[in-house]
Amino acid sequence: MKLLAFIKTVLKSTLKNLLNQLLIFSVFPLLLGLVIGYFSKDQFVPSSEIPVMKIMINDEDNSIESNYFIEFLKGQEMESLVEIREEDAQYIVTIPDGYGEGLLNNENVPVEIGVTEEGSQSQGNMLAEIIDKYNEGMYINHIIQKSIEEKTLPEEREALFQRVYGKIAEIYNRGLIENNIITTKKSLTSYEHFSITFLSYMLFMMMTSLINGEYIARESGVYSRIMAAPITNIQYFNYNLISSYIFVIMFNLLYVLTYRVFGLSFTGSMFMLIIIVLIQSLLGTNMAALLSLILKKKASNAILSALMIVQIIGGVTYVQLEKIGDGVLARMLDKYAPDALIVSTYRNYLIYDDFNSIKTGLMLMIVASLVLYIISLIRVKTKRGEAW
Amino acid sequence: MSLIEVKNITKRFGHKVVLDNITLTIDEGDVFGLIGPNGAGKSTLIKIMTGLWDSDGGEVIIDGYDLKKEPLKVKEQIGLVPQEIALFEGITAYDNLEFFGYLYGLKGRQLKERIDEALEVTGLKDRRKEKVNKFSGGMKRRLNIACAILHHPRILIMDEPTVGIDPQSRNHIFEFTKRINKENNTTVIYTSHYMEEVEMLCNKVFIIDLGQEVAYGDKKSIKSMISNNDRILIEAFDYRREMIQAIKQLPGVNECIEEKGLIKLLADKNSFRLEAVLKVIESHGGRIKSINFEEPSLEEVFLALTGRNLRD
Repeated sequence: MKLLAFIKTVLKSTLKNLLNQLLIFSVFPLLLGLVIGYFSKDQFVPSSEIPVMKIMINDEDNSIESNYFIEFLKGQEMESLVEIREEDAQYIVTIPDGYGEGLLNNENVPVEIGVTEEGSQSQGNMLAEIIDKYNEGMYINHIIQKSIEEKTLPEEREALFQRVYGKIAEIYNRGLIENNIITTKKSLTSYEHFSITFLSYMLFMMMTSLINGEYIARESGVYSRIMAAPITNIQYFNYNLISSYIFVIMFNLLYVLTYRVFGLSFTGSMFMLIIIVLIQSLLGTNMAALLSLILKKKASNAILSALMIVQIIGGVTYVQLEKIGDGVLARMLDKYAPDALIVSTYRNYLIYDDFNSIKTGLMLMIVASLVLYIISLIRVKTKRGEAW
Repeated sequence: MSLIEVKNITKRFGHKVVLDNITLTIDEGDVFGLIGPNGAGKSTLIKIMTGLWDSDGGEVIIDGYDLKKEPLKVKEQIGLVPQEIALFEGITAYDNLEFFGYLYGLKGRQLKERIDEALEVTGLKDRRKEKVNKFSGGMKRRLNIACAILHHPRILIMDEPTVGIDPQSRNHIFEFTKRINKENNTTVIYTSHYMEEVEMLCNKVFIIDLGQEVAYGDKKSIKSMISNNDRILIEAFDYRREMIQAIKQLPGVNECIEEKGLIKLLADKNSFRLEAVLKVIESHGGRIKSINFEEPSLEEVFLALTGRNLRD
C-alpha cells in the first residue's frame, strides 16, 4: 500500500500539472526539433543520394577469399556505389593478412577502412556495412557447401539444416568486420537526428525535475514527515524510484509517440521502441536518484544544465562538427557524451530497425542502471539522517 | 513505566554539542511542553525522538520499544506535525491525507472514514477537493495536523504548530489540542517559543536552552524554582497613605508597591498571612475591591534561570 501511495501521488500530481509538464517535456522539444529539423533538411542527405565512392584496395592477404572479395567490389552490383582506383581514392580498403582463414573459421580479422580527407564518415560507414554483409554471406555459403559435401544421405538432411541454421544464428551474433567509422547521422533524416538530440534534452530536463522534486520534499519537510511514518530509508528510496520511473516512462513515451504519430521519427518496430523507452527511462531514473544522493541541489542542477547545453549544441552543430579535423570532434561527442549510450541505441534503432543493432546498447543500459542502483542503495544505507 | 523515556540524549554536529545529556519522561495523557528560544535544540530533540536523526548517545524508549532497535514499532505510535508545512502543494487536501494514510497502513473504507474524520475535526471538510496551494497559511497548518492524526496516534508531536498563522486558526489549534488530549487521552508533545501557549496548554514543561536542560517538571514546581514568593494584587480604595508603610512592616511581606489603587505585594510563601494585610487595610479605612494571586510566567522563569529574555 505504501508503494501505491507513492505511485498514486505522482500520477495525481502529474495530472494536476499536466499542461505545464506537457509544455516542458513534450511540446517544447518537439517544436524545437521540428523547426530546426525543417531548416536543416538539406544538410542531411538520404542514403539513396550518396555519390559513388572512390576506393583503393590494399590486399595483404592475397588468398582465394580476398580475391573473391575484390571481384565482388569490382562487380556489376557494386558499380553504382564504388569505383576502384589506384590513386586519388576517398577510401582505402585494407584486407589484412589472415582474412581468408578468418572468414572460413568465423574469426575476427577486420577489414580496415581508411577515410581520406576527401571521404565522408557516413559513406565509409555504409561501405563497412556492405562489406559486413558480404562476408556474412560468404561464410554462410561456405558452411552450407561444406555441410552438403559431407552429408548426402537423406536422413542426415534434417541434421544438416539444424547445423546450418545454428551457424547462421551464430554469425548474426558476431560481426566479422570491426571498423572505426562511427554510425552516421547523415543516414538519418534531419527530423530523426533532432528527435534524438532533443530526447537527450528531455532526459536531462526530467532528471533535473526529479532531483529538484526530491530536494523540495526535503526542504519543505515532506521528507521528514514521511520518514516519521513507519517506513525505512530503503523503502522510501525504492518507492520513490519506482514512482519516478513511471513518471519518466510516461513522458518519454509521449515524446517518441508524438514523433511517430506525425511520421517524422521512431517509425520502426513499436515493440523495440517501447523496450528502448523502458530501459532508457530506467537508466535516467537511476542517474537522477544517485545524483540527488551524492550532490547538493545547486551542484546537480549546474551539472545537468551544462550537460544539456553541451548536448544541444553538439546535436544542432553535429553536421558541422563532422567536417572539422577529420570528424574527430564528432567522434568524441558520439563516444564520450554522457548520453552516448542512449543516443547510439536510438540511432541504431532508427537506421537499422533491427534488434541485434540495439541489444548491446540495451544490455549496457541495464548493467549501468543496476550499478547505479546498487551504489545508491549503499549510499542510502550509510547516509545518516541529518545529512539529508 | 512512563510512555516516553528519553535518557541521556546527546547530539553533536562536528565539535558543537547541540544536545547535552537530555533526560526526561512523559506519561500517557500528558500535554508536555518543550520550550526554549530559537536554536535551543527543540527541533533536534524532536527529530531524534521521531527517529529522523540518530543521537550520538543515549536512548529513547517509547511504550517499551527502543527507538534504535524497533523504529517502525515506535513510529506507528507517533503522529508528527512538523514545523514546516509538510504537504504536497500541487494536489488536494484529500489526496494528501490519502497518501499519509497509506503510509500508516490505512486502506479502503477505514482510510476514507479516517480522512473524513480528520477533515471534520480540523474544519476542512468543505475544502477537501481543493489544491493545497490555494489554502491560507492557517488552513495549511490545520491540514498539517489532519495528516498527523489520521492513524489515531497515541503520541502527537506538534513542532511549533502556530508559527505565522492568524489568531483564529491559532485558537482552533489550541482547542483541538485540548480536545484530543481530553477525549482520546492522546499524549501531546508541544514545542514552541511562545511561552504563553505552553502555559495555557501544558501540564508538564521542559525548558531547554543551548542544548541543555534549564528546568523540567510540572508548571508549579518550575515556577517555584525562581521564587518562594507569592505575588498578590489587591485592588482597594478609600485608604490612607500610611497604610502602605504599615503593610510593609508585616512579617512575610518582602515588597509592597502601590499604584493607582492597585497594591502589589511580594510575599514569602512560608511566613506571609493574608489576614494580617486585610486587617491593616481595614484599620486604615480602606475598602477592598478584589484580591488576585499571580504566579510568575514561564518567560520570567526562563529569564531568571538564564539571565536572558526568551526572544533575545
